[in-house]
Amino acid sequence: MKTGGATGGSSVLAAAQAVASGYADCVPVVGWERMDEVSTKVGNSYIASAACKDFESELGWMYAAYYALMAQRYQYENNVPRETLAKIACKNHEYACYSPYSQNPGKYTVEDVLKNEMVSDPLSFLECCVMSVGAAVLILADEKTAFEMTDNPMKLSAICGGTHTLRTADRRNMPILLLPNETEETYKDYFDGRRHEWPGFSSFLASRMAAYLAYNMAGIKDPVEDFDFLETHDAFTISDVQTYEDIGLRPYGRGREFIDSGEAYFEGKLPTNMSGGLIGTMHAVGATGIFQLVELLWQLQGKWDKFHADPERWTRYGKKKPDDFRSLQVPNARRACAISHAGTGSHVTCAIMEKP
Amino acid sequence: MAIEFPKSCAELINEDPMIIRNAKTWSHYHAYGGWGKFFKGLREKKILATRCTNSQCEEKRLWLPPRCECPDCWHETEWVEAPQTGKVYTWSVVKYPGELFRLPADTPLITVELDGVCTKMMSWLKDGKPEIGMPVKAVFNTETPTNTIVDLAWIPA
Repeated sequence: MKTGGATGGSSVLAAAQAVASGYADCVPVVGWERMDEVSTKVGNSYIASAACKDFESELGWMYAAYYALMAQRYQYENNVPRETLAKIACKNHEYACYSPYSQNPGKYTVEDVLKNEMVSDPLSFLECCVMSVGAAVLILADEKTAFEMTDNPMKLSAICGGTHTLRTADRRNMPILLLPNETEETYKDYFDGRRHEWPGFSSFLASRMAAYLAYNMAGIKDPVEDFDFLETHDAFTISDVQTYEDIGLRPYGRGREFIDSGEAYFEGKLPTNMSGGLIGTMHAVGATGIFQLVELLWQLQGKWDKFHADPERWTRYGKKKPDDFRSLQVPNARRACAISHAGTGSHVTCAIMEKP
Repeated sequence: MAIEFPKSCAELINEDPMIIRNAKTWSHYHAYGGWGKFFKGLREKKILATRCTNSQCEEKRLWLPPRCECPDCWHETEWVEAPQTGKVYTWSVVKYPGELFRLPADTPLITVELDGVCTKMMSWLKDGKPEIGMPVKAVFNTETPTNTIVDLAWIPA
């Protein structure tokens, strides 16, 4: 199965449907990618061939440029400084320092990110995901089979997908689809009252649709209250802040508050991307959505330390466990959410995993 | 007659781990299908869009990029010339483009909003510094057409 950046999420969705329908009692979901065979520029061309070849690909041959177009518009509409975007990059690069699986760990200041070389204005190299070699596996099974295999399975309480046009520029305005924690009142003052100018270039309808379906399937009333941590698809700092709004962590136009308030950090109310994310740890495209759910599984099982803190893990990948290693095991994590995302928001899945 | 081994197709780069360099060059033949007319239009300095022919369809505005069928009601569309002046909706200066980009690094990409068009148009700014809301007008590469979307560009109006 291939749906670009959302391949992992889409594969788990297909596996979940197979198990839920009774078609299969156990499905291993295996995803991988090797992106080391060509230069970054050639790799970007290959990836950009997933955009519209006639009307988009020739303009840049690089997805970072298409996200930069969204970033400029988002910043213009919502008055978001680059410093806020840079904080997301700093957080995820830092969390990648505590993962033996990470490709691009580092401790950076906001200033480092702002001074970093541009890929496509306003996105710098430190604000873009890495190209990786990687693989991830998740096993889905019905309840009976799961308990035959392990004493400690986790429940995939929902996984749903949303889609939107391939070309960002084809997205016509419509009224905002409201999540369970929003009402008409939420958007009374949105965007100078222009509530119907959605999703534009600032929002992903596919992410909101996936969250809408998954939240209703799993009975989520308020994501900030009901989840204990998250893994988002931080392909670019801008898409991360956009996603905060799409999945209802903040109303549209106020996504920056989620990072500025400190909620997104390990110490905060809803820690996000302790894996290091796509910016810090990896984006081996076909594996990414699965890797996020594996991180969810380890956190919920209380096994994050087993898979990150053991010095032998680091040695296995030719690395040394850092002296300032920090455990990012979320205490008493009960329920979490992962977003898998493709294109400029053409396919998105929202998965919710919890303790049974 | 015995068949000879190929002389060379890949070059050994590293012994351990073993890495080969495998250069590949080939051509793609790409049919524009129903929207070939748009690319022919660029040679005549026209931006050709499409409009739904169904009088019952709620979407009266133009589609650009063009569509062969109306995405809302699936009726056939007709070709209509789009305006050649618009406004910059968003922009980015590309510093590190992908390998196949035919324009120099530092070329500003823009998304243009045109009156009467229900979608937007990704393109590039041939002259000037981009700003959101800036009025622009279309220019065309008719001298050395590449028959791709980069034959259309915009300059400050």
